Amino acid sequence: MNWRGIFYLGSRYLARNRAKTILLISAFTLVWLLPAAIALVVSEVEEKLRSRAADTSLVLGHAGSALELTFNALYFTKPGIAAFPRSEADELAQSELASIIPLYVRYTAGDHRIVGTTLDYFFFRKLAYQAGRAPVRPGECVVGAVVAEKNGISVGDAIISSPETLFDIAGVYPLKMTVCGILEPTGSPDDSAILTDLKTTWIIEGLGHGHDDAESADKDQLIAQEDDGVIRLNASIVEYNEITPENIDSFHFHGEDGGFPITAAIVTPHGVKEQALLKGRFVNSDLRQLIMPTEEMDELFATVFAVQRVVLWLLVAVGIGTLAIGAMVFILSHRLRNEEFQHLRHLGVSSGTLRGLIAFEGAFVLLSSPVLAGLGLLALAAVTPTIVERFFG
Amino acid sequence: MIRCESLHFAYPGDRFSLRIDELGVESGESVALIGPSGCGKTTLLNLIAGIRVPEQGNVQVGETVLSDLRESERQQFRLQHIGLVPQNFELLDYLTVKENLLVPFRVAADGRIPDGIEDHAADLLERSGVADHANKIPNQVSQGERQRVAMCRGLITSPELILADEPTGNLDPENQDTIVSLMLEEASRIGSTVVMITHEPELESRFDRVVNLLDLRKEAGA
Repeated sequence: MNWRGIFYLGSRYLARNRAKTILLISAFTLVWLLPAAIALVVSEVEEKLRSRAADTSLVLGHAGSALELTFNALYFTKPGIAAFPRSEADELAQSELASIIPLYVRYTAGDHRIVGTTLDYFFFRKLAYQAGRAPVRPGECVVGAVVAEKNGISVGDAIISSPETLFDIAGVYPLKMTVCGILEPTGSPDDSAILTDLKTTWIIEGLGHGHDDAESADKDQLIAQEDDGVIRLNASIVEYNEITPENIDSFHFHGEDGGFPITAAIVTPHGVKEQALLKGRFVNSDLRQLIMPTEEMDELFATVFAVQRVVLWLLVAVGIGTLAIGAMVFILSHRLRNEEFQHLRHLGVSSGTLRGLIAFEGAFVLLSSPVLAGLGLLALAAVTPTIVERFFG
Repeated sequence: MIRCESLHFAYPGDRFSLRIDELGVESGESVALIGPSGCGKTTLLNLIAGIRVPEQGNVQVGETVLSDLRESERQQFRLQHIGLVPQNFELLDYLTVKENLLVPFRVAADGRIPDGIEDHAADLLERSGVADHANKIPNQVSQGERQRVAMCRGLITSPELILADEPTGNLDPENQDTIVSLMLEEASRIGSTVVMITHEPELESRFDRVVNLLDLRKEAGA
């Protein structure tokens, strides 16, 4: 058998019939690649989500979807979940069973979520600064590494929160925040977040505001001055959309901090016993829930894996079908080439060489597809963390 | 060079049978094999080439009795000693004209193209008037041009025996003359024996001998 001749004729045939060859190889490559790619992506997502969940003992939130609460508190998605008063988180902190970090995750600046929290959050997540410092007054914010890189932000730059309701004059107005720090990359949702204090997020919501001094307002800005000293002004009074050292004293809230909303609170019990006691408190609560993110992830991935198994079986069935069709194409193609093989026999090509030629062509298609699938998988493995990070922060 | 003795061949399930008592062709001789369609000219050529094996009798080429060889040995023998020019060209449609010429070397034992062969191929293509089509695939050239390419492929190995099955069937008289001249010149240059089937009486005079297959069969009492 002449392997050189087999390789030459086989490769020339495959090259001349490249459309058929590429089609067969692509189909077979997908048969190998798709199940492996799905397993890889699911595994990457699982690792990503589970690692964040494992670092977070408990999350307190409004009763409802435990999964949405987990995603809101850990991955800063699901901003629409119901809020609850901050005072409830404070009460839990006063019980001395756990440390509490409140979170208000509702607003955005462009594509990035604004996370209202306390300085404890920075220590809890072990966040380090590549530049600047933590926010110390309302209107300051710290941005994640991805936010800074994508938007070319440096310390001292400004970020404006996105208006929620463009045509609603009573709605949420944009607030210009000053970037006081940029975080080191962590490979977590913090990289894509804008972290600020709770008061800033409440100001964005309109619960607090700053404006020109009411007592020195013009007569035409005055609606009424009540006997109890309350001054009512019309809309011509200048409201500030940026908190600066000059106007910070004019910012105030109409109400008590404790009554203002948060969407979640990270609860870190001081021990196993404390954790059991805390969980017991909320077992029968209709208004609040205290969840373990790891349990939510277990439940989520049990469902994901069940779906994945079904998808994999379907892909196996599709794969068998594809291989069968490919085999049929191969057999039919060789029947059509009988005359060509006859010509080669007439020239003096041995039957062994002809069998080698057929085997080479089949093997090339069959073996190149897993190799390509392997290369595709390697490429996918290289970009999957980035893709997963894009979707899961 | 060629000796056929007491030859009998029949296709399975076919009434046709070929019986030849004796046929001899001397080394270096050129023979035009003639006869009406269906009389067995191509069958005889295939028997001499070892593509088919007689039911009875012997075909001897040089010192080799083909009937004594196994199929793989006959194929090897054909590749090494015979230049075949089939009636239906038998070119590979996924190779270019030039690549088709080199196939006998590609499928030989070592698969290597000997030095100087590519120049020889270019020369043959030039002399047969298809040099301009060297890089085209067979489907892109005319029947007559394919015929000439098949002739060039039969000559490329400088074989001891050239068996040509109506290589001028698709050519105009001018090209018939060109291609037969090319074949006979090459055969003369390398001392090959030639057996060519033809239906063109005006070409018969170019050969050393004309053999009418009907005469052979008659002599054999077919």
